Amino acid sequence: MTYAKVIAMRAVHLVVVLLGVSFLVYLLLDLLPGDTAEVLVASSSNPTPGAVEEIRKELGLDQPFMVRYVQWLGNAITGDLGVSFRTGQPVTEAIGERLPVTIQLLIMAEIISLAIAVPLAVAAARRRDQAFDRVVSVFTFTLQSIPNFVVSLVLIVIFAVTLNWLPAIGFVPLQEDVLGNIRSLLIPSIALASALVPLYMRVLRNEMIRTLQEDYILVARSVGLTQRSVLFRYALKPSLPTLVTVVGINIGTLIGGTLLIELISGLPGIGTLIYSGINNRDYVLVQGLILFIACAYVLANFIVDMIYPLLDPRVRV
Amino acid sequence: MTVEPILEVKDLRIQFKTPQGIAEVVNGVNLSIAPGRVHGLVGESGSGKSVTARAVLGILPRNALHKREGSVRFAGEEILGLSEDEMRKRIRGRRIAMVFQDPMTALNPVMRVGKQIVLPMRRHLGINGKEAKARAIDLLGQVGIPDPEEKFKVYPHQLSGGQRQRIMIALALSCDPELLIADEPTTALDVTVQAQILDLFDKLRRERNLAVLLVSHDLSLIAERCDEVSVMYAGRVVETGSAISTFEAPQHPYTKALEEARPSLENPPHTVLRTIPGRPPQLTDLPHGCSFANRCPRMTELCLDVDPPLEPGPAGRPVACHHPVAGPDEPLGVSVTAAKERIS
Amino acid sequence: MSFTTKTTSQRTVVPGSPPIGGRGLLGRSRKGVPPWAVTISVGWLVLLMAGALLLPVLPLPDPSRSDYAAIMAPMFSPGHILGTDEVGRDILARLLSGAQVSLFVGVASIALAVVLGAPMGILAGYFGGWANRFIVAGLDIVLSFPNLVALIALSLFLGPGLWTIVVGIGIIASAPVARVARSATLTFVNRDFVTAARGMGFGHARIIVREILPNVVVPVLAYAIVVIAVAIVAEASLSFLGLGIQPPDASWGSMMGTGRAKLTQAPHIVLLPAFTMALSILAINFLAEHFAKRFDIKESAL
Repeated sequence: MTYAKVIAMRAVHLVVVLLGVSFLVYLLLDLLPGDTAEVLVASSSNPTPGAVEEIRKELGLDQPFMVRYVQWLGNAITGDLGVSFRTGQPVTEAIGERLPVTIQLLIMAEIISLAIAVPLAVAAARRRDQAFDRVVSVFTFTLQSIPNFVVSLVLIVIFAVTLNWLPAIGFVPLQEDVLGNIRSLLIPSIALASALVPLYMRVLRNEMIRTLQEDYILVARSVGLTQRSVLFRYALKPSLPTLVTVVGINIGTLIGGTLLIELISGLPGIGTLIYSGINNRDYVLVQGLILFIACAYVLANFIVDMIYPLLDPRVRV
Repeated sequence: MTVEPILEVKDLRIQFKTPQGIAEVVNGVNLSIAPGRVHGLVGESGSGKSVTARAVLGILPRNALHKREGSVRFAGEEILGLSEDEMRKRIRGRRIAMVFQDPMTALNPVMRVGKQIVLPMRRHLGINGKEAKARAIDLLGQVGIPDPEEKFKVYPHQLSGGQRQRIMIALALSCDPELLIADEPTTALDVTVQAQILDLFDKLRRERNLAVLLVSHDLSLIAERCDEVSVMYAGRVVETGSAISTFEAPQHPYTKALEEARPSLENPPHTVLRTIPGRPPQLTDLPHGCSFANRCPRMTELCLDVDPPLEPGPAGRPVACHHPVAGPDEPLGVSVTAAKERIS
Repeated sequence: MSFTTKTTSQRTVVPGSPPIGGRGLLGRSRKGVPPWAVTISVGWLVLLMAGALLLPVLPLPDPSRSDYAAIMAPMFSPGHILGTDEVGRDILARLLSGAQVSLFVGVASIALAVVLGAPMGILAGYFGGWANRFIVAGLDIVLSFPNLVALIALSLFLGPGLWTIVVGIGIIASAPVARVARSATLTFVNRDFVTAARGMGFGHARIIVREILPNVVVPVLAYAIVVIAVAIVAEASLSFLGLGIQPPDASWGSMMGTGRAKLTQAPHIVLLPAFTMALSILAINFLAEHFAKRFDIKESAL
C-alpha cells in the first residue's frame, strides 16, 4: 500500500471517530439531569415562573435531540462551542486563552522525558542484562508505579517546601519572565515526564536491542566506527518508529495527567479550566472542553501515525 | 617464494558460552595469507570459519568469552590483544575490512548508501565531507555501480541484491585496506551475480595487491577462486596448502570426503554423490582425540586417544591426521574394528 | 495449549543467535520478576487486605472521627502511630479505610470491565466482518477520550461516589479488555481445533464457549491485573479532585487532595497515602509482570 493510500484510509477512519466522539459528548451532556436553562434560572437573582421554558426556547433546547446535535456540531465545526453561562465568555475564546499554558507544559514534559529516556535506553541497550541495565529497569519500573500527581506532590515537598529552589505554585507568563516561566513549569513538567520516561525508555531499549542484533550493526563495527557512531548514527534511527508510536499513544495519558498537575501547581491551563467548569456546573464549557480534548487527542494520534512511515524510507514514497 | 605474510594466525582458540556449556568454537586455528593472494577458508556450517574471520577483526558475538588464546599477527603486529579502541581506530575498516554474507541485511535501511560509505572514510582518513563524497562516488564506479552519482543518494531498498553487495564491497574498500575478509560473499546472490562479484574481487586484488580471506562452504567456489585453501573441521584447520593440490590430492580423509561429495560437471548425470556419514561433534563436548574420528573410515585407536597435530603430510602440505591419504587413487582405508567398537 | 507454552528455542552454537526473551515491563530479558519481589509484593498486598478487612475489629480510632486534642499530630504520636490529619483523624485508620475503597474499586471495576469487554472482543474477533468493524470503531471512539477526562465526564453524569467510580472505570476499561480479547480470539479463530469443531457442525455458541473462551481467559485475566492498578490510580485521581469518594469517607486520593493544603506544615498527611499507594501499585505491577512472563503475554497484543 502506498503512503498516500494509507493516509486516505486513516483520514476516513479519523472522520468516523471524530463524529462518534462528538455524538458521545453531546449525548452524555444532554442526558445530564438539569439542563442549562434550569441552572441559569436557578443561579439568577430573581427567578420568575416560566423563565425556564423561556430560556429553553431561546437556547433551542425544545428542539428534538438530533436537530440540536446537528446544529451544535455545525457550530462546533465553525469554531463556535457556545458561551460559558458563568462568565459569558465564548468557550473557544476561553480555550484559546488557556491553551498556550497547557501546550507549553506538554512540550516541556515531552522534551524532558525524551531527554532522559533516549540516552538511558541507549546506554541500557548497550549494557544489556548487565548491572546498569538491571538497575535502570528496576528504577523505571518503580517510577512507573507512582502516579504522576503523587510525584508532583513529592517534588513540591522536596524542591519547593524543603529546599525552596522552585516555586510550589503559580505561573509566570513567558512574555513576562522567561526564566521565571520555565521555573514555574519545571516541577509540573517533571512530574508529567515521570510517567513517560519508563514507557519511552523501555520501548526504545527493546527496539535498540533488536536493532543492535542486525547485520548492519556488525558492518558498522567492522569498519571501525566508534561506539558512539554505531549507537547514535547507525542504531538509533531505525529504532525510533516504535518510540514515536508510543509517544502518540501516550498523549492521552499526558492530557489526563495535566488535569491534576495543573491543579496542584496552580497553572492557568485547560486542566484548571475544566475543573472550575465542573465545580460551577458550567456544562457548555465542560462539553466544549471535553470535545476539544478528545479531538486534539485523536488528531495528535493521527499526526503521529503520519510521521511514523516518514521515519522509514522503505515506506516513504 | 617467501613473501612476508600479511596475516598470520597461530593456534587461535575461541570459546562461546552456550546454554549447553562452554563451546570450543575455534580450537587451534593456523592460517597464513600473503599480500595479493586469495586464501580460502572452507568447511561445513559450524566449523568455526566465520568465527575465525570475525576474530581477526575482533568483532565476536556477545556470548564469546573474553579469554582468547593464540596469536593473530597482522603486518607483523600482534593484534589479538589490542584494545577495542585501538582496533577501531587503526585496524577495523582501515587496514582490514570485511564483506558479509547477506547484502539485504548488511546495509542500514534508513541511511543513504553514500553516507554509509562516507562515514568510515571521514573517521579513518580525516578527510572532509566533500572529498569523502568524491571518493565514494569514484569507488562506486570502480565496483561497477552504474550512475554512481545518482546511486550515492539512494537507500539500500532501492537497489538489487547484487548492487547492494557491490555497495558493501565499496564500503569495505573505502579506506584502502590491506586485507579483505569476505564471509560467504556470494551465498545470498543469484548464480550469474555471484560470478560478477567474484570477478570484482579478482580485479581489486590485482589492482590493489589486496589479500583476500574468502570464507565459504562452497568447495567449487573455493577451488576456482583461491590460491591457497584451509579446510576447517570442528574448529580446527585440518588441511592447508595450495588450492589446486589440496583438491587434486587431498591428504585428510575429511577433505577427500568433501571432494567426493562435491557435484561436478565431469560426473555423468545422476551420479550418486557420496555423503559423509555421521555428524560433527558437539562443540561443547569435543572428543579427546581427533574430532573427525567418529566419521572417519581410516580411524584407529590412536585417533581416539591423540589429537593429531597439523604437520606436513605425504604430499608435503600440512595436514592434521594420523593416517593421511597418500595418493589420489588410494581408497579410503579400512577401519580398525577395535576402535569402532570403542566408540559405539 | 500452545498459547501458554513457549517452545524453548533450541540454541545452536552458531554465533549471532540472540537469546530469546519476552518484552515485559522489565524489558527484553530472559529473567522474569525475581522471586523475592514476588514474595514481598504478595506479602504487602495480603497485609493491606487483612488490614482493610479487619479494620472494624482492630484497636484503631474510627477513621472518620476527629481527635481535636491531636490535630496534625506527627508520626509515632501516642494513640496515633502514623499521626493525624488536618482535622485530627487517625491516618493509619484512614489508610486502611482507603485500602478498602481501593481494593474494592480495583476488583469490582475490573470485573465489570471483563464482563462488558470480553464478550465484545470475542464476538468481534470471532465473527469478523461488520460486527468486527462496528465494535472496533466503537472501541476507538471510547479510547479517544483520555481516561481521566472520560471518567470526569461520567462522574458528572452519574454524580460523585463509589459506584460512579466503579461503573465509570468498568466502562472505560472494557475497551482495552475488549481489544485484548479480540486479538486473542483472532489468533485462535483459524486454528485447526476451531475449524474442526466447525466442520463437525457445532454451533457458534458452543464453539465460542468450548473452544475460544478457555484460550482467551488467560490473556484477558493477565491484562486485568494491570488494569486493577490503573483503576486504583484512577479512583485516587478522581477522589483527589473531589469527584470521587466524598468526605468524611477516606480514600487515598482524597487524603492527598485535602492534605495538600497542609503540605508545608505536615507533609506526612500527603506522603503517607502517597507512599502506601505507590507501594501497592508497584506490588500489583510486579505480580502482573510475573503472570505476563509466565503466560507469555505480549505487550504488543495490548
